[in-house]
Amino acid sequence: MSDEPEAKIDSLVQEAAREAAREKVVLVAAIVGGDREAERAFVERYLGPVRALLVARSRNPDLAADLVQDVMIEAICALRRDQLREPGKLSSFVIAIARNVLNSHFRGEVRRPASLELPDNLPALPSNDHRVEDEEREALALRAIASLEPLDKSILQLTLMDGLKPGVIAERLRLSPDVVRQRKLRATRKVIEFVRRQSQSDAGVHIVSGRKNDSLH
Amino acid sequence: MIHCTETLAEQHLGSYVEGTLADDEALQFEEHYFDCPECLAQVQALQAVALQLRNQPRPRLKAPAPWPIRLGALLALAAMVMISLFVLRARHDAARPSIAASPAQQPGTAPSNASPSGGAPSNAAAAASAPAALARLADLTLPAYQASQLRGEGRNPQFEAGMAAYTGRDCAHALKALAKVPAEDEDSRGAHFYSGVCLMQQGDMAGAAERLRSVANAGDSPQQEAAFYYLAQIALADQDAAAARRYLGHAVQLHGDFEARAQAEFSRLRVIKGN
Repeated sequence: MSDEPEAKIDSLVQEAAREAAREKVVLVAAIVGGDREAERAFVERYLGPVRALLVARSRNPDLAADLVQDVMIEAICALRRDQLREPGKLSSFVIAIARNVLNSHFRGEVRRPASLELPDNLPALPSNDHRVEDEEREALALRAIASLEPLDKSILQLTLMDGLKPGVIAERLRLSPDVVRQRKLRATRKVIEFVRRQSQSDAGVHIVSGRKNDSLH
Repeated sequence: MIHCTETLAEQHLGSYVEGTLADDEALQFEEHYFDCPECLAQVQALQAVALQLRNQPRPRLKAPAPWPIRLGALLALAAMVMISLFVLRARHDAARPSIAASPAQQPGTAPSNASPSGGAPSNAAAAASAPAALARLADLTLPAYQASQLRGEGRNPQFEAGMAAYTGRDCAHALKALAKVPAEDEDSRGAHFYSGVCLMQQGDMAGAAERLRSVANAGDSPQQEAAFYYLAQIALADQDAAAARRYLGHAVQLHGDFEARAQAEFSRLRVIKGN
């Protein structure tokens, strides 16, 4: 009895995964076939996650903004050349390119896609949609920060900006490391909860990670 | 859309954005959020907060003293008053017999006549009472235990059982359970610390000191500062002022919950030393 709903969810999840893989196969096939709209859709789909990855791995938003274009160009060039053997693994392919571009940057290498020609008809990056999303996210972040207690804000600053560990923060703020860990986790959750609540309550304002979210339209 | 229970985000989000997540786990999380709009939105939200925090002024904070410190400060003040009274009483008691014992002293004689002989016995009496005063300084009460309230932070079951007994002040059972916490378990240092203070409470000072020293010498941990503090208490109980000062110094340097208490004990030690 109780297994039935779980089995149903499992089957829905598997169906959703299959559907997502099918979409990727179609997208890749269209890019290989020279469809510029498909390239635009690819950029819309992956710009957000690639930038998030680059920010997380470089901890430098300016550098991430510079490199995101290189990743997109390199990915599209590789897709045009039909270099992706398993189109269902498009996301893993893009992640690998992003990591390689970032590593090359840190090694000081000049990495240029070995394409026949640098595509001149790529969608502009970032698109206006993304700019609007960035501004909304920025405003939301400011409101989330304002909702934090000063102590929690300090702990997040020392963690996210200075990269300090709870033990060191505890020493600076004269708290126990356990208290710092607890407050940091709580503040992080509070921020996420705040963003989630605001995203749901602001009519027409949804931060959907740089791709269309059917449930919101 | 991929079905998401947000387990991965729950586990990895904070450390991923901080850049402290292990590479394989970071890759696993990336593989997930590249296909999960909800988790991606959480990553982006926290990254936006991190970015905006850069532009925010840093508040000049004086962290609120947690209640154990406030309570500790009050206790320290009360203890200082009691020590002062004790020392005054000791001086007074030491001075009285010397006056009475003085053969030259007659009832009604001016006190100034007795002063040349009265000074030395007073110092001697104070010196004799100093070790007792040191022992009285020792705070051998069990420290409070507050279980971590972080979600998803699993505790070793033996540790939990031990701490349940400890919270009920049942040191015998606490010691039995805590002894079963494996050395490689992340709770083993906590088990060592609370075993140490249990032994201290039971009067096994050598055993207590051994456990607490292992915690204190093992480096940064939530119990390190407390271990130094209680090593100082054991030293005080052993009337070893030099060791007590050394351990209190270590506790103060860690600037944690025990700093105020340790500083107060330094002051009390000075009062005793000054006699």
